[in-house]
Amino acid sequence: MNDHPHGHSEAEPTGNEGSGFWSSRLGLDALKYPIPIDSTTLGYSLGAATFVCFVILVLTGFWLAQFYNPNPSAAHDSVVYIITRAPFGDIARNLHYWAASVMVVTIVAHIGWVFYRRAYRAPREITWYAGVALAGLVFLIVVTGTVLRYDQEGFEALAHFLAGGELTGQLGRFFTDGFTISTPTLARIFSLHTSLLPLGIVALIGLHFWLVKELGISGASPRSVMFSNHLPRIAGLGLFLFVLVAVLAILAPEGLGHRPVAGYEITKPFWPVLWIYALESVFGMWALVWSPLVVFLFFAVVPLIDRGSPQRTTLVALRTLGAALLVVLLALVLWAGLSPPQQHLGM
Amino acid sequence: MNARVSVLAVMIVAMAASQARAHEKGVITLASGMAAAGSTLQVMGEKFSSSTQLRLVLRGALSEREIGSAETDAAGGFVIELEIPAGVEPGAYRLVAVAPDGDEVASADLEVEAAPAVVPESAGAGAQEQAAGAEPAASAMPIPSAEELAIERRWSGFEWFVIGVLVGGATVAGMFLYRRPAFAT
Repeated sequence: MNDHPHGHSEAEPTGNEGSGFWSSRLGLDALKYPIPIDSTTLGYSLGAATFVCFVILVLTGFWLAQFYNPNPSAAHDSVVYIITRAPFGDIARNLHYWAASVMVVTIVAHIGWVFYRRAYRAPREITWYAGVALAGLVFLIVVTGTVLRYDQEGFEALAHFLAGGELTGQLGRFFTDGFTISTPTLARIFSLHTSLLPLGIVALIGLHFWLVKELGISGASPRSVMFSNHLPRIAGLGLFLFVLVAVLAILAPEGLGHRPVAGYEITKPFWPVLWIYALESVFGMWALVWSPLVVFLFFAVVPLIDRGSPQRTTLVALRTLGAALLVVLLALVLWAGLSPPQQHLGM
Repeated sequence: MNARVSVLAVMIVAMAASQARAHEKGVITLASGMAAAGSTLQVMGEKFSSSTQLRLVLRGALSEREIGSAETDAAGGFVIELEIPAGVEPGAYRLVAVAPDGDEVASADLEVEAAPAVVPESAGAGAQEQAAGAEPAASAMPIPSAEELAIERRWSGFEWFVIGVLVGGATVAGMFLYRRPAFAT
């Protein structure tokens, strides 16, 4: 029986008769659903690649959290301890850093691919919005993660974080020192980074995966394969991704700056945030607040603009705007990366 | 068979009991949770083994130094004035009491602050009073740096082995899984 939205033809026999024991006990039959054959290509696997990076981050992050001290007077020393003395500390930290970097790349590629394929259209709007929310939470978890190193760069990131909270008044009070006096802000950021944000990400991933399964993948081919047969290829891709992250971790270990000195801005942030840094240099501190909102607002209106049967000019304009946004963001990252550090706080 | 198991169990219990009776775990209480480097701090101990010499070790994330000792009385307690060495870096530490056999028997958290600015006695009472609320001397101001710390990384042989196995295994397994056909033939 085929109740798939695309009305694909019956898939090939699975030949998995030997896995009945585990299948019946773990409900693995739920994975035996047809997907378009062209969705087994790399472009369609970017979401899975992002998920693999997230798994690496969770596992290494769990280990790092055993040695990290979120007390401001001990945080920097605990990171030095992780690098120099904690068992597998340096390995875990480098894997964590590079998995985060690779994850940002795969997220941008995944969003770009979905945007190009127009896979945000009905009935997949909620899938798209779940993905946008995921991107937002990942952005926040990247920002909070850079604070935790608590070297000069981390401290300046914290200062920007707090400045952003101050600018938004009562809305941003949670992100300021004034929220509570019972615990240092660094400890609350640590809690955000290790508990609330990962939990939110896991919940949204669950929704995202469920919707992808139920609504199907918007592939063009009428031929299909069973997802359970595609899973080994995804697993193989995931393992290659781990190897890439591990090689980067070995060849280019992440460093650590000196203990922070308050009142100075002499470093630049983690590269995925450089585009905001560049806009701050041009427009002042308020760019910290409106620039992410502009990007996420664009993502939010895309399914509203491109729905039904839009005119060709509308479609061309939307795609041009999307491409231009990507180019501008990349150019800003490059410009900020090559420019000397600038003073922003107090602008 | 049952007799051997019983003897083994008794031996294990006896060993555990003998370990437990080696010394008592105690409690140390500090007059304050914060102390400046170079200052003295009152430390009180109780519930230790009687007439025992304890070493007091200041343990941080990156360093550890023995800073004093205390002898417990007949009731297993002590009260001492402990000097925090002037050279201790500001930060979060644990003051650990170590028994003669090397076991940690108690600990307390201690935050060490930087030593206060020192004004020469010859400067007079007015200058000293002024210095108490003044900004630190220019030479004492921390200098910010955007450079990376020169950290010596040393992965152990076991760490290299584990990462090698993980990378090698992932490569082989990845090739095997990725090359499987997407549909049954």
